[in-house]
Amino acid sequence: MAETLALIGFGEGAWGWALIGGALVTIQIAFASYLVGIALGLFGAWGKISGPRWVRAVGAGYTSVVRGVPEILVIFLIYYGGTSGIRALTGLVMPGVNVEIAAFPAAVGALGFIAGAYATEIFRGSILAIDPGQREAGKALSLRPHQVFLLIVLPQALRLAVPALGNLWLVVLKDSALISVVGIRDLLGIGQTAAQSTRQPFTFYTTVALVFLVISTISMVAFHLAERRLGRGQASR
Amino acid sequence: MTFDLDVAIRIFGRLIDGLWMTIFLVVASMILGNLLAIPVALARVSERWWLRYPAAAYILFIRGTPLIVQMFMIYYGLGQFPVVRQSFLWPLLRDALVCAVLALSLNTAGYSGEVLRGAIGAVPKGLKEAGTALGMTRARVMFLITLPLAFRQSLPTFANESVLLLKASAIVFTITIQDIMGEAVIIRSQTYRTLEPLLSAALLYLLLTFLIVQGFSLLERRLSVHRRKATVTELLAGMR
Repeated sequence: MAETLALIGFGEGAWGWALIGGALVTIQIAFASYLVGIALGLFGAWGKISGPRWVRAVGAGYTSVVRGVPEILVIFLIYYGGTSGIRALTGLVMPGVNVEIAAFPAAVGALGFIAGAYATEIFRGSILAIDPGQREAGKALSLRPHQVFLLIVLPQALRLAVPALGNLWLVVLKDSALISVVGIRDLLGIGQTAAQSTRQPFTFYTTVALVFLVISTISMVAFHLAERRLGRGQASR
Repeated sequence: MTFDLDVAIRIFGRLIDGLWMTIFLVVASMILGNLLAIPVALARVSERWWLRYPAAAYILFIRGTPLIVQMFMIYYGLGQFPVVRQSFLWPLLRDALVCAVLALSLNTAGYSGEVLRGAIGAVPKGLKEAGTALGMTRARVMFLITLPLAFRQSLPTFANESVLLLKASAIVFTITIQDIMGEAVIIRSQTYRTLEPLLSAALLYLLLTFLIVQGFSLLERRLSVHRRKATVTELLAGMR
């Protein structure tokens, strides 16, 4: 038992530092994907609510396809399909040039693309939940349409969206474990290597799970505090 | 990188084999997982702390860690212990399919348990009191009044959970199971084609998602007949 615990410590031949490095990769990838997802979500929500008809159709297709297809499949499609697509494209423009797409941006792109579909629905719901009177009041003050949106609708919609965005972060964090399947050295990737080389799979997979649990628990507390802070001045419902 | 329709059509036949595996995994885990969710939810709302705390910890663990890690813990992890390897359960636990169903079911039990817990709390107190007033035991009130109502209450959420389960099931190819995703990955490595197998697999998953959503809305409509206004024909039929 003591020997097993020493393996996940920080001494000679132990995996502690490697696992911490993996955890940092996981957090970086998850956080970057989350930001990409939120940006895509804002665009998507705008498109689905007030874009021209073809934008609305694209938005509807995006959210229903991504939410109806397994995450790992989308990751494979973007990671492998996307990279070879980009390579083929650059090959047409500049024959002979071989582009190497780095693993990190590809992973962030794939996870962010998935998160964006969920974020679109979150923002769409929260924007539509803002009383039309607020918009009209802005118009009456002769604000321009984009001012009405940025100064009046969006701040209120964001507050409504916080609980769902907190959930989305937890989902993105957990989904990020899937990218170890395409060979990225994130927390689970490192855990797998450690499990194989020490022949102690249960020890390492449990450690990986517990690290995820710690990150999610801290995030939950943080979002809870953020919700309370943003809820100041709101009548409790 | 072009998409070849002929290749896609030829591949489809092989993906259908994976389709049955996916359907089996989802149905088996849905049944087993939701049955397990009942004791989890009951323990979670129990007045006894030694039931409530472990259930809360279980739900926290399941919802706070990735399913793929949970599955690896079961499939690759359990064999680490000689006790497990020597037990009569080892032939079962060594099997990838058993482990996949186990991981998906335990995961579903955690998520659905939490949903059910909320729904149990939402059942009006008066209904339970009515049961007690009729001389029902607490267990009877729970199983005849509270749980059925809680189940119906959480049906829309279960529909969502089932779609999530279908999508989550695609990771079982990492423990060698040939579901839709597994077949697509094998075809990809054999043919060096990426788009055809993956897009065809995506199409199958979309179809299954659609079927689940439709199936649940049908079930929901049937189970909430009391809330729907009767049509004229039904009213006339009732008058006769």
